[in-house]
Amino acid sequence: MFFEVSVNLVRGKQSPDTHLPRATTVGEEYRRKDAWVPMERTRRVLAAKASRHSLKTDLEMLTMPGVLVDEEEELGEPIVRCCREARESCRRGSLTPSLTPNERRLRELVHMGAYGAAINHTAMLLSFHGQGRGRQGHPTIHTPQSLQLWYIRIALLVKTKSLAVAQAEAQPFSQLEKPDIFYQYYPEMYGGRTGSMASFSFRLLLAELPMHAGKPKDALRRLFCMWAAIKRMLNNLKQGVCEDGSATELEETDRAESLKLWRSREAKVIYSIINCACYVKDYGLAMELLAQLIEREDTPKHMLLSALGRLNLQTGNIAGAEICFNEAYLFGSSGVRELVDRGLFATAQGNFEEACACFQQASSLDPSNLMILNNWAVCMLHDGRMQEAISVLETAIASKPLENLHESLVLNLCSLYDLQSSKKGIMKKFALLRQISKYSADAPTTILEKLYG
Amino acid sequence: MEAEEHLLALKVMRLTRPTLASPLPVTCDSKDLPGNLLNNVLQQDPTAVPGSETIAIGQFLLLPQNPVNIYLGETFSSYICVYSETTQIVYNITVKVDLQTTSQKLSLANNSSTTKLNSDETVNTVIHHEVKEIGPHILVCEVAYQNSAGVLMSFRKFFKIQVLKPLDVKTKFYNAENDDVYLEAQVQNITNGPICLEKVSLDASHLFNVTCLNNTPTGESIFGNITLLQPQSISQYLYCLTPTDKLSSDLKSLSGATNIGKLDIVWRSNLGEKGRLQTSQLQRMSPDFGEIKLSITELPNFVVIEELFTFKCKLANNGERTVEFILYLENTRNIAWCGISGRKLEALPPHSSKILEFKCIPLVPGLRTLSGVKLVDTFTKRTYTYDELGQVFVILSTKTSS
Repeated sequence: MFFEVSVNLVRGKQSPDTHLPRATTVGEEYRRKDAWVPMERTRRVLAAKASRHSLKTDLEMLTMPGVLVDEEEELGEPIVRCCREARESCRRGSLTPSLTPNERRLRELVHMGAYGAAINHTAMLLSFHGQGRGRQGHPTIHTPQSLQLWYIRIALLVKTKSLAVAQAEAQPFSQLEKPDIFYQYYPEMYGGRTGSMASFSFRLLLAELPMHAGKPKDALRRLFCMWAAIKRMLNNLKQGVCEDGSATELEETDRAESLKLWRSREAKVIYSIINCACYVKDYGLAMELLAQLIEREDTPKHMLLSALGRLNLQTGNIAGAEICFNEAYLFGSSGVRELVDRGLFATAQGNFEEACACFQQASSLDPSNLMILNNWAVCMLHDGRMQEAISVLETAIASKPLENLHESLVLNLCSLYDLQSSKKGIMKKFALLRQISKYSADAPTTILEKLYG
Repeated sequence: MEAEEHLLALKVMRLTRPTLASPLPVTCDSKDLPGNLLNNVLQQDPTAVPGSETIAIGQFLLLPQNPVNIYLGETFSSYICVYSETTQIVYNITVKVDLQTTSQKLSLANNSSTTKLNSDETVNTVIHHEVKEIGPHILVCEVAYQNSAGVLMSFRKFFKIQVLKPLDVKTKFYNAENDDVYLEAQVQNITNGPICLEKVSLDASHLFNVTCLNNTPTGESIFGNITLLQPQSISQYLYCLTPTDKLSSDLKSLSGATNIGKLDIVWRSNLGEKGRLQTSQLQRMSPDFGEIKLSITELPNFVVIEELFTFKCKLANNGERTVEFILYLENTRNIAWCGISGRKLEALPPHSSKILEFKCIPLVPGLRTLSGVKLVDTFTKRTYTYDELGQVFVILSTKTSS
């Protein structure tokens, strides 16, 4: 995670000796990573399992997922989708389509950005686990591997904006609260291992999912529940017991590691809440949480201050934004970061000439930065220089078409073409479409609409 | 629109503030099946902010993809592009932009002519106009030019704009006993997005001095650092207006002073889009003082039971003749007066006032009303009764209270 990475970087500079190698037992690490406090009903079932009481299982307490869609056509334009994969495979010459499904292949597909193919791949792999098409609603046995497959499947469905499918397939998991998601449910298989079999990332993804599917209030509620659970675990750790509250004496280093991990996970959940708050335009909540994060010791302060500044700009609080940007500068924001913030600030003031100057200067420091070129072009348009703006964007695309044919950039360029003559604009848009179909596996529908429109 | 083909094309684009695009953050742990693959994708996304990729507060400017409402008090900006669609050279191009409102026609741009336009070249005009009327507006763009044969050609295009009302301002006035006027103003956001109120201030008429009651004693705004108003939300402001000395000495003009001032409101919305509104002159109901006015000028809040206390009143003659009064003090259950009842007061000339001092003893604890003061005009025999002159809180003893 970037959050952890940036923390480590900052720490590394200050005290390079914080990462002393230490013998950690595998068990310790598993316990830490998988820890989760089950809800009361689940806890009772798990306790019964542990004491080997045979218990009549209530179907309601089972997680029974199944693939609902495994036809590529239903996920979107297959030809466009396959273009990139085909092209990449040719270049590598190492992949043939007939390979049997396995996790390595799945990783390769994700790496290539062939998300549609990867989603199909997960369907095949899940059918090996008895959770393929038509299996939703049937009892099944979960393993960490099957849950990982579900995680990657739903993550990719979200990434390709197949949100209805994502939501329908995620529904049986609810919030990963049911007993069969915990190791304790299978004592004969995992011995004394405890905690959640589903990874933290999956849990977070499922909590965020309603936001993507247009129910942000549900997402907020789920995320706050997660936050509360993590707070409880942090509290347990502070009181010297295990994450889940079981009274095992923890070694000091073990406890410190756990606190660190769960604090960083807490921050991730807070980030998600901030995103959700921004999505529903509850800027007050987003600002409050960002301010809380800034107060924490283990966070990249200047990045967060800069984000808070931009959030203030978004709401229209220009004076507040200026304070944040100045403070970010004091905490080490410099160079491109500072120039971009200044450019955005000038944009918000309506001073597009100044904004152009900032982005131009930033671009001279980092010439290949697409975001800067794009922002420069947008400000040029406001400054009455449409044709220069078009040429900046066209040059950027021509220099690195694979990377730079980005959805948002294409949308901006199309708006500029719209302002040009209709005949010429349409021709140029078709040329863009050809380029996108050549390079991009998953052309988002918004772009296609804009291009055909 | 004329059927004839033109050598020039005209396109108009409304310029509103861009939005900040950001990627959809989907992440994984290094221990998850995809390893860091999803994180890498996110990091490489040009709309992600390096170092804070997982926060969806972007920095990538995106031109608005959907029509944006325009509100009264905002600045309407547009890009007007005239583009040569021909291989011919076109001469003496002029672009005229007017805005037709329901009441008037405004000229927004009248470009001096561009002498010559080659193929694929453009004439660019950016207009800005602060919108001052609600309702339909029509943007009229007129292009005139000469073709290569020197023939004068022209065409016009019309664009309709609907200007909406952004804020709803409701006011209430309270005329206080001491001639102060309290103004309560409710500002409601009726746009479809959150707005940030940058400034709300009362430009008072010169007859009043304003005290803004929206700050804490330490000078901070009671709304916090930022006054963010969600759609339909209301922010409430309170102001106290004190009449200037000159005004309060003259009851007649005080009563006639109904113009309070104007509210000046500045707000910003998406990425600093600015709007400004000033209300029309706010009017209060003119207070009716009548010919004679008796009002408290000094009165303690707390008094001790069975201990003498003093308060002062101002007796003002607002009429055109000199009046003489007899002052009667009637004891009530709660209060015993200490003074002479039935005493004749000094004659009070027109448009003058004097301070009267009263002494009394509270008899019953609790919140008590001062009543029982009566003035009788010796000439007209008219009686003025003051049964709710003011209130005091009667306490048992200073020791228990402190």
